Amino acid sequence: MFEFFIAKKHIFQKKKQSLIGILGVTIGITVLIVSLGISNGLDKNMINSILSLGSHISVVDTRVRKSYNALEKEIKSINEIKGIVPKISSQGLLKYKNEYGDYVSGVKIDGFDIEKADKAMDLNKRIVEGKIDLNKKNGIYIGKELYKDMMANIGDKLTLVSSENQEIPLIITGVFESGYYEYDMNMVIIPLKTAQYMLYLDDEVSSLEINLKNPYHAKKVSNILFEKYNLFNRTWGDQNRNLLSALSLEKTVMVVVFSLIILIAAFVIWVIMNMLVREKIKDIGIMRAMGISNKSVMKIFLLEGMMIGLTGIIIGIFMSLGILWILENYTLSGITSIYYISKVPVEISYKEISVIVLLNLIVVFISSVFPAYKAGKLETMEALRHE
Amino acid sequence: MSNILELKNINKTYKGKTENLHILKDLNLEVEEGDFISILGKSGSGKSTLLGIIGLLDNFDSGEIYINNNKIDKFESNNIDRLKNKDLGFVFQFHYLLPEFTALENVMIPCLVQNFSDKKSIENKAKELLKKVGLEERYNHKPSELSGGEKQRVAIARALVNNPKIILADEPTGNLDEETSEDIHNLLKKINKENNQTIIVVTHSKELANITNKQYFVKQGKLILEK
Repeated sequence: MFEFFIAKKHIFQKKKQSLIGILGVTIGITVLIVSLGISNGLDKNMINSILSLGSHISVVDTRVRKSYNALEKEIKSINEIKGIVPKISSQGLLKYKNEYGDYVSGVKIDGFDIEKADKAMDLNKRIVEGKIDLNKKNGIYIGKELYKDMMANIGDKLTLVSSENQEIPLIITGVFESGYYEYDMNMVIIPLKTAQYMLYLDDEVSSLEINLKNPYHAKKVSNILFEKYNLFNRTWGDQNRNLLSALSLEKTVMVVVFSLIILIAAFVIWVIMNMLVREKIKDIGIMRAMGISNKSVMKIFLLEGMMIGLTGIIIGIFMSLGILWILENYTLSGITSIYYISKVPVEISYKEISVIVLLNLIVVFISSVFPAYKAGKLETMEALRHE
Repeated sequence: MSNILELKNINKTYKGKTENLHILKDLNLEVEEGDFISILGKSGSGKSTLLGIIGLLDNFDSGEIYINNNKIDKFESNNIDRLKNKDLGFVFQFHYLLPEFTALENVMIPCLVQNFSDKKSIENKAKELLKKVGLEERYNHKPSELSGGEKQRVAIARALVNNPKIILADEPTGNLDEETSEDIHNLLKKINKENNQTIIVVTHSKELANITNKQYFVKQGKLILEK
């Protein structure tokens, strides 16, 4: 308590120095938390878009082709599964006549059991124009970007050409928005039966798409499918491995770079504490002459460093949470058009903040412990004679 | 009467780059409780060094120090800190007050080290002492707002706050005008008489030396009793 009494006085007496130290820590911690929050948010946004119309596990085993119905019933018992969608994937050409002429575009054709897809993927929520019609065998659902590009309207007729050169007339029934540009520009969804007809297939599918209650359990379910049911499958993580590892690399590099700012803040504290100890050499001598132990002297200066650091950390946390709140709730014009998102996504966990705070405290402690040790080591007479 | 302080064969050498300076040579001193002693000597004779050694602020090469008949072990730093805090009060030539604290806080600090929770009664005691040295109007003034004499009186009040057995003063009036010096002399005399506290002063001032009971001179590293 006595040490705190002295330390407090020193800090208030040296207002400018203390403020610079606090500012250093505040800036460091704010930059790190805000950038981590935005990066987490962008990552999550990217993953969500990928997952929006993609499935979590894709079962592509050869057994699936013919006997998908039986298999579907078999694996439905796995607890984590939210829904299973039989799917045919293919490539094709889309032909449409608008007022300016012919519009042709290569597309990725996904033939879904629409009813099941609606249940498993919440397809309904992705539809931004038109609506899902389960009875319409000749309905086609196209992405929002493609829809805009084609300058089409709901109810318009278009032709889908299969790889077998089979031309099928379809009617635009709905427009979906996944949030992932690739899907929104290049993907079309048609009913499974239509796809089977178009590709001259009987009751066959190319894969079973599984959606989970929690997409992050994909690995676990994937292992069950392989070990228990002997089904070859790929998780969304496997399918997007490049993208995910790029995201993770980007995040690691960012954290490392911004941690340097915290190191600079620690350096600022180290310099300020050294200055303070130097200025107070005579006072240290006086205190030692009064019988204040060298341990107490050390504690005084350590406390000063920690008080500066802690104040900076607390202000930094409030400031970064404030900035993140503003970013989350107010649209920034420039950024939205680049990233194909409507608001800056933000995501930060208490765990991440705690780790940052803890690391900061350690760094601040290390940078104040050396000057404090130096202060405690001073000989009384030498300190008193210091000019 | 028992000796409150005893020095036996103290040696102290300052090590320089080219030659060593043997400043105290087998120095002996016995001080009884209630003594008022002055130590005189030329500049550089080693009187301040001696006071530093008595006050346990400085190291010495060989010899023994007894305070209250207990031998001081220079490696027992906790014990030394406790003695410095409780049994010894130091008054320096240049007041040496902590600049960021008020007069009152400066007086309180040596007491707060041991017993921080009892702040209120320490404050009352410090106020009483400041009143005694005539500074009841200056409790909340910082050292920079006090005159030289006032600072020195605060320093004396600080030295007294823990009721030390021995008060050590290193040229306490060396920096003050005659009139103020006389005030300080009277104050020291009064403390010595009223509280029976032992006082050892190092001084150049004849006036101060004349009011003490014993006068020692430091000559060639030894103490010589003059009076």
